[in-house]
Amino acid sequence: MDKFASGIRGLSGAASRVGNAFDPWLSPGGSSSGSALAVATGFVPLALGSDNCGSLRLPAVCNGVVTLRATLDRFSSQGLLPIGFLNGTPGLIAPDLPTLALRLEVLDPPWRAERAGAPQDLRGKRLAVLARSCIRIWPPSTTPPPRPCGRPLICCGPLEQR
Amino acid sequence: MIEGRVGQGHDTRLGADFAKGSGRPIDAQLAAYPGSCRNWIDICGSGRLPPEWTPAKCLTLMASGMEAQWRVRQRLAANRRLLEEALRVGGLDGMLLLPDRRGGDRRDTSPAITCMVSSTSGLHAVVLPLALDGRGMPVGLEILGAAGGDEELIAMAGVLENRRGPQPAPRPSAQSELTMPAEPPLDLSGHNRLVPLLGWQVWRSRRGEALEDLEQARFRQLTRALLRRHGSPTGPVERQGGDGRRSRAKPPPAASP
Repeated sequence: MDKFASGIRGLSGAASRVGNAFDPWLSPGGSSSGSALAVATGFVPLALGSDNCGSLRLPAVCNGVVTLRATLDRFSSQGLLPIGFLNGTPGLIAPDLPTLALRLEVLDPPWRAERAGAPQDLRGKRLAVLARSCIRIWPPSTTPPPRPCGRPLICCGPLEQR
Repeated sequence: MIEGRVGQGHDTRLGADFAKGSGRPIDAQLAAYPGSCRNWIDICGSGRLPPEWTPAKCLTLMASGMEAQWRVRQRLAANRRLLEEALRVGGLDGMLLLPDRRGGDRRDTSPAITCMVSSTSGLHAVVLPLALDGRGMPVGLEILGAAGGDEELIAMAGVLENRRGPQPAPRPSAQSELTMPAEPPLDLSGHNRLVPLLGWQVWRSRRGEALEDLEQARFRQLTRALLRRHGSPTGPVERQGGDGRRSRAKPPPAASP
């Protein structure tokens, strides 16, 4: 993982970098790089991570596995260092959603696994698509720093599901 | 269409501020842990944070008072209210976000990534792989949940996962490359004091090279150059005493001639 969970590149101080599960020469995303890699390659069935600004979701996307960034304050962020007091949340990375739905109770005993795993019908659901975003990650590796873009953040049209 | 209605006023610059006022709680928690970092000043000066986190910026953010944390909380809550209201008015159950950063993107250009929408609002989000792209790398989808439970969001995403079908596993060749490194490990014995900082020293020494060029062979090349620059080995491991003071391990007794 990135040092102090403060990167998105999978760079480690002593061990150089972590590889992607689908191609070791490519980036695994970060900072929970090792967790996502271990699940994606089948070394472990579940792995722990934390997410301030994408540290669970980026490596999950890059390695083809699933995760949940829970609602803020749903899971205790006690012990997430060095930041995480304000927007950090712990989470699990799993190979598929049924596994994730079943096992999140290890982080939150009141977790309702039966509801998370219940089959749903998408009929009647309305989902929007984020068409454009001007949010940039901080800290940027390129200058200038991010600025308010003055445009609507989200331009979307609801999808009617059959 | 609800174009133009969502996100007006969304504070996109919260990222750095999430560290504000972290110093005091960090100290309280680190007190219980052994290790070389005993407080937030140690962390800021450790050299192990990404280069963007300069020690001065780190110190300034973490030394902020509790009122700074309170203001960040207010901004985060305002973002959340904006999104929740937009989703409610639109009668939406969720929002689909295609992450800009796909698996295998090695470029160090920090493109806009949509996962910050959840981070700067506190709303829950689930991520699942959708398919593989032309290079055989996974492409994922993020679903931001409307007001409601995390459990319901996972259940809804599960429907999409079922429709997608089985996700292809990583190629066996990739797995074998992971378990069998092409080169033997670098011999770092005797350089113990250098090792904890080695990664970032190498990262900094790349002098403008893009991260995509910093593959393993190049990383090793830079590491060897650093080791040569440091000359002779630096001695035995430094260990942290229980009282927080650094102490040097005793060297082994010299062999008698």
